[in-house]
Amino acid sequence: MERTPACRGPATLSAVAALLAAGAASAHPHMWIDARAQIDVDAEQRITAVRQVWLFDEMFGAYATQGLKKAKDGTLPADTLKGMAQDWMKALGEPISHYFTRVTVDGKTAAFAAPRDARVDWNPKTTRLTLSFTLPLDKPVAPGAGGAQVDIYDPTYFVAYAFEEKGAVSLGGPQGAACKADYRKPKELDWKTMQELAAIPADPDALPEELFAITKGLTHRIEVRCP
Amino acid sequence: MPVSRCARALAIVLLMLGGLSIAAAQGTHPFGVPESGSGLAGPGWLSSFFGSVSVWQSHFYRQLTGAVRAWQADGGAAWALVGLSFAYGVFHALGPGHGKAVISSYVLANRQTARNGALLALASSLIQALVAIVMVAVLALIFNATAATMNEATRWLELASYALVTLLGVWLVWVKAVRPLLRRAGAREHAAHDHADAPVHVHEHAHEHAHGHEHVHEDVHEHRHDHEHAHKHAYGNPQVQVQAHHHDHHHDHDCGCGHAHVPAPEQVAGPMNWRRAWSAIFAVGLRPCSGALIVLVFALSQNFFLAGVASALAMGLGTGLTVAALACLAVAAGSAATRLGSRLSGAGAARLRYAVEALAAMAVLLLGVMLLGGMLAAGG
Repeated sequence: MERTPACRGPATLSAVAALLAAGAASAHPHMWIDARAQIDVDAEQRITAVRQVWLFDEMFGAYATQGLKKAKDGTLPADTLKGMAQDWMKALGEPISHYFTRVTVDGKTAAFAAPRDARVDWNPKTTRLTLSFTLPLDKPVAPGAGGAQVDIYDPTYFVAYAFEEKGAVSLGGPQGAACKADYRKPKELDWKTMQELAAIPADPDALPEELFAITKGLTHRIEVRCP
Repeated sequence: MPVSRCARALAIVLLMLGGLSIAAAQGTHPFGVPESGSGLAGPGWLSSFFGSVSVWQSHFYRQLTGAVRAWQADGGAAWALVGLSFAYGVFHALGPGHGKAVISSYVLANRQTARNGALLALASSLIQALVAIVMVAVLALIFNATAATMNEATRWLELASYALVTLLGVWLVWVKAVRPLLRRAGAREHAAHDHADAPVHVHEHAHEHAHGHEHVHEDVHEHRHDHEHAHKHAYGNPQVQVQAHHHDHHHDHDCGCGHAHVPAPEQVAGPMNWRRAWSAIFAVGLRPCSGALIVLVFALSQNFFLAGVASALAMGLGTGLTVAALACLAVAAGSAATRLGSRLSGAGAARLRYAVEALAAMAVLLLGVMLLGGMLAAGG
């Protein structure tokens, strides 16, 4: 490489620096969750809670249950599963995760009350773990003219969700049948969004708000409307 | 004018190198899986590339379960798992992570040869795979430890790794950025006040060149611009000037600061200084990759640990080769910068080289501080 054209050097340099510039907020998924969500609608056509069931992939199942005492038939003791559920819900409640769920009406985020009915199940045959929990809203909200948006996703991209099963998204509660839920897949990350993601400061407390603002369209979105 | 355009491009690149870890948000993931590489923010303009890398990586990773089972059912299917793991490793290395940043910066700061850079990269990836294998073998296979224990172990290794990166950064900044300046100032003073001291100078500065620039002999033709030293050196002492000219091809790397005419021979030529390189290798390799850990544990759960070992090694090879390619690019970039500088002037070349090395050194330190700080802030 004697005497390359003047600009070839810098071009090489940019390529290196770019690759070195260790990446935007794009950790890749290490976990896959086949998820189901049911949104509860009360008698006054207000959303009261989001019930979720997350079925984890096998590799995670193997990792998470490694070293745990299993019965002969491969089942896990109830208290182990209970402890697991408690740990996970506690971690999910941190601001950075916020249950990976958000409910928005008229651009305002509805606050959650403490989650209920958290439980973990282990299926020794499929070697998969399931986490189920109910996330009640602090105060029930009516979807209104603009509808209510329920977004589910992991802003760190560590978990990849899929709502592909039939009936993965549904409405429940007294007036569930009166309302309609439309599910929309996340769109692929585009250039501009990635740039914005990369520009977010690393303050964990600030992350969810900003991320949700930027990543509109990158979430699994359930749009609820009550006529 | 092309040169100024290039200089600008170079400046931008160096700035980016310096700021390559703007943020390190090392939160613990709710599901208690050791998470690595996330939260490193960089310039956004290549992030769509990282986006696709991430998609491909997931694509390969998700098929690993099936590949482990296929091998278990049919011995001939081993290659599917090895191939998938290798591909995963390649994409893993292309994605965000501190390993390639540390290795490339180390290589740039130390002006390593491409060959040594590649060796460093491969060695660190191999160590990383071995750490994962040994960790799962000891903790999970022998002691039947839980995921919580393994996460804990991973965090300690991570802490050690980040601490090592930081120490390496401190050392590199001292040697590559601070000391040259001190020497330069010292040399100027000397030259101004007492010319007769010149020979003493020579000895004083000799050890400065001890930083392993083994490519001297391979690249002799590239370093003709080193007359700088001669000029600087020659403040009022023609004899020294002659001497310097005579020798300048021996010490291409001294950042415009000094003029060692007697670099210790073993440090100018010969193979890489492994004792020093180990610090970089361990700084990168100590922290096992979560992908490898999870595959190993999964293979263990299938009573087929061997598959996990093969997978982890193949991942390491894929990662290592990719980082090796990046390290070679870094080397090419480093010498490109030198060439660019040599077009400007001898002094420009030396300054540019100093800038590249000093910035690379600072990049390592910054990365270490960010990673360590992020981890400690997240509660250790």
